[in-house]
Amino acid sequence: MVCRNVGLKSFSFFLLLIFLWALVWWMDRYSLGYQLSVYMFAWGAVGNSLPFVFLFLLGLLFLNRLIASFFIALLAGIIFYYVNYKKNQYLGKPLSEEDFLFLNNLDGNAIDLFKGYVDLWQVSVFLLVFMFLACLFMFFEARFFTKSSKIRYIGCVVFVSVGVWFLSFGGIGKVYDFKLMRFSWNGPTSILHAGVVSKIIYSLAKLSSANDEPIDVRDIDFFVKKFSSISTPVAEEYDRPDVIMIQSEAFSNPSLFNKVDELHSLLPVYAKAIEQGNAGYMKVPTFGGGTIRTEYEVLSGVPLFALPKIEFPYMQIKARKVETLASEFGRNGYFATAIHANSGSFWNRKNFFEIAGFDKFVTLEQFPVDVVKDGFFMSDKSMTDVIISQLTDNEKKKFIFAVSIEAHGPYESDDIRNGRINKVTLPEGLSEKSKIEYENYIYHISNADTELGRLHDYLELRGKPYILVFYGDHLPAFNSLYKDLSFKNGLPAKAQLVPWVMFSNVPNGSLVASESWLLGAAVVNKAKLNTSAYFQLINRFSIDSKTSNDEQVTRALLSIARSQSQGKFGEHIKVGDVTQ
Amino acid sequence: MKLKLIAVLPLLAYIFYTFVNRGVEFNVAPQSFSACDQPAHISNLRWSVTKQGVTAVSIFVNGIGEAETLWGPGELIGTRRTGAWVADGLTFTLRDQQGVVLARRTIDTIRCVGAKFGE
Repeated sequence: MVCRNVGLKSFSFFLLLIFLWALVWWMDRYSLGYQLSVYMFAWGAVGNSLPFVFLFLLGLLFLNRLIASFFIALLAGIIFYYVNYKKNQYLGKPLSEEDFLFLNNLDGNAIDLFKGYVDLWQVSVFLLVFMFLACLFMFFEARFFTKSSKIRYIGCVVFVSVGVWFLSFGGIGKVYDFKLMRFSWNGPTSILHAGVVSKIIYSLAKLSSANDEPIDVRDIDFFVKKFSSISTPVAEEYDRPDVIMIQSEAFSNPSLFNKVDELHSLLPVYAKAIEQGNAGYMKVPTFGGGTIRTEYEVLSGVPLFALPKIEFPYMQIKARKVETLASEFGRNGYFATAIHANSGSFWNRKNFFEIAGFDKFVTLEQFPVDVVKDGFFMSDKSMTDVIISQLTDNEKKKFIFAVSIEAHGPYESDDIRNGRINKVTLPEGLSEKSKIEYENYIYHISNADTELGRLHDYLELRGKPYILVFYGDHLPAFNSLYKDLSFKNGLPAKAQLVPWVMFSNVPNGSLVASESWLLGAAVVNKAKLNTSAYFQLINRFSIDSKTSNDEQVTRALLSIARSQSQGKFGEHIKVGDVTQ
Repeated sequence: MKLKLIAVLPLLAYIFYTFVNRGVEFNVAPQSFSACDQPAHISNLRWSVTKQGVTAVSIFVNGIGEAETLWGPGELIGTRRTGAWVADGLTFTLRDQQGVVLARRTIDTIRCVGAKFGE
C-alpha cells in the first residue's frame, strides 16, 4: 500500500513536471507568434522551463503541496509571458535582459506608464482567481511528503546544492551553454531556438561575470606617465576631413594563398592601394565570424584580450556610456552616422550604438526601396549608395562608419551568383566544392573592391578633405577551401592578418595600425582631432613599437583598456595628465 | 482522486487543442531543414479549411522578429509553392476572413554538428 502510494505520488509529480515544461514552452511560442510545437523537443525548451521547475520544486519542498506548488509555478509563468506578449504586441520585441536591468530603476512614473498597456480589471480578477485556487489546494490538498519524510530532507539538500552549483560554481554557464542551447549572434534567433527565458538567463549570466576584470590604478599611472610626453599635433577645425570607415564583411587578400598570384585582375582597387603604399595588414580578434569583435575593437580602441570573458561585446559590455570613435568625432563637432545593411537588432548594434555616441544609425529598415541584394544579402553597391547619400549635406563634418554584409557566407551555393563569376581564374587542385567557394567569395569581395573604388572616385571629385578607411573584419569561413589551399607564409588560416586600405587627400602621413584596436586611434590621429586621453595614449603606444613586448607596459595596457571599456578611464587619471 | 485530477489536465489540454484546430489542415513541406545547408529553401504549402463560419482564408508570412506580411488570399482549399526564401524561424500564418489565426507553421532547422562558424 505504501509502495503503491509512493508510485502514484511520483507519477503525479513527473506528470505535472512535464506538463509545466510543455505549458511554459507553449506560452513562449504563443507570446512570440510561433507555431506552438516548434523547437519543443530541443534543449532550449528544457532550459526555458527551468526557473519555473525550480519554483515548483521549491513550493513542493517547503509548502508540501503538489498541486498548489504547480499552480504557483504556472502563475509565475503566466505573468511572465503575459508581460512578454504585451511587450511584443506593442513594441514588436520580446522581454530581454535589459528589461530586468530596467526593473532596478522602476518608479511610480514607469508603473503609471505601463499600466496603460494592460486591462487592470481583467488582470486583477485573473490574479485573484489563481491565488484563490492556489490557496484552495494549499488548505485542502493532502501533504505530499509524510511527516519526517527522509525524501523531503534529501530533496532539500539536493535542491540547495544544485542551486549553489548553479549560481556560484558555473552551473548556469554549463546548462545555458551557447552551443547546447543553439544560441545565435542574433538575439531573435536565440529566442527562437531556446525561448525568451533561456536567452535572458544566458545574457544576464554573461553580463554579470564578463566585465569583472581587475584594474590596477598604479598600472594606469605608469602607462600615462610613460606615454603622455609624446605629443601629437591638432588641426584647426576648418582643416578637418570627413572620415568614412568601411568594415567590409570577410574581406581578405586572396593572393596570400599559394597558387594565387594575380591580384590586379581580382581586386584592382586594392592592388593599386598596395602599390601606392596605402594599405597594410592588421591582427583581428576573430576568425570566420564574430564580426562585432573586430568592430568593437576598431570603434572603442579596447583590445578584447583585456576582457577575455567577453565574447559578444555589444551584448555583454556593462556600461551606461561607451567611449568610441563616434564620441571622439562628436566632441570635435562631427555628425556621427553608422550604416549597416541588416536589421539594427542584429548583434544588439542598435542599443550599443546609442550608448556609443552615434547621432544616427541607418539600418536596412531605413534603406531606400530600390536597394538590391546580391547573393543572400544586401549588395555593397546599395550600401555605397547609402554612404554617398549621407555625404550630400554640408551642415557638419561627417564621420560615417559602415558595416557591409554582401560577402557574408555561406559560399557553397552555386546558384546565386551572376555571369561575372566566369572571369575568375581558378587556382589548380581545387575540389568541386572548393571551386564554388572560391568563385563565390571572389565574386563578392571583388564587388566590395569595385565599390571601394567608386566611393574613392566620388570623394576625389567632391573635392573636400576626406579620409576613407576600408578593412576586413575577419577571414571568410570556408568549409572546404582551406583544406585545398595553404597560405604562402606557411601559417594556418586562423593566424592570417586582414587587410586595411586608407585613401585620403589630407597630407598628414600614413596610418600605423598593426591590430584592429589600434586602427581607430590611428584614424583620429590622421584626422588631427582633439582626442581624449585614452585614444592619445594608445596611439602613442602604437607609434612607439619598441614597447610592445615590454611586460610591464602590456600589464598596464590591460588596466587602461578595462577602465576604458567600463567608461571609467576619466576617473582613473588626473586632469592634465595627458597633454595634446 | 488527486491522481485522476492530475491525469485529466494533459487530457483536457489535448481535447482543447483538438477542438480549437478542428476543420483546419495546414501543411508546410518540407518544414525542417539541416542547419548545415544554405539559409534559403523552397517549401510547398497545402491547406484545407472546413471549419464552420470560415468563408475565406489568407496566408501571412514573417521572418524572425518581423511583422507579418500578407502573402496572398487563398481559397479554402489550396496549395502554393514558395520561392527560395524559406529560412529558420519563418512563420506561415493561416487566418480566416476576420483575421483570426487558424493555424501557424514555423520552419525549424536541425542542428549542424560540424558547424564551426557564425557570422
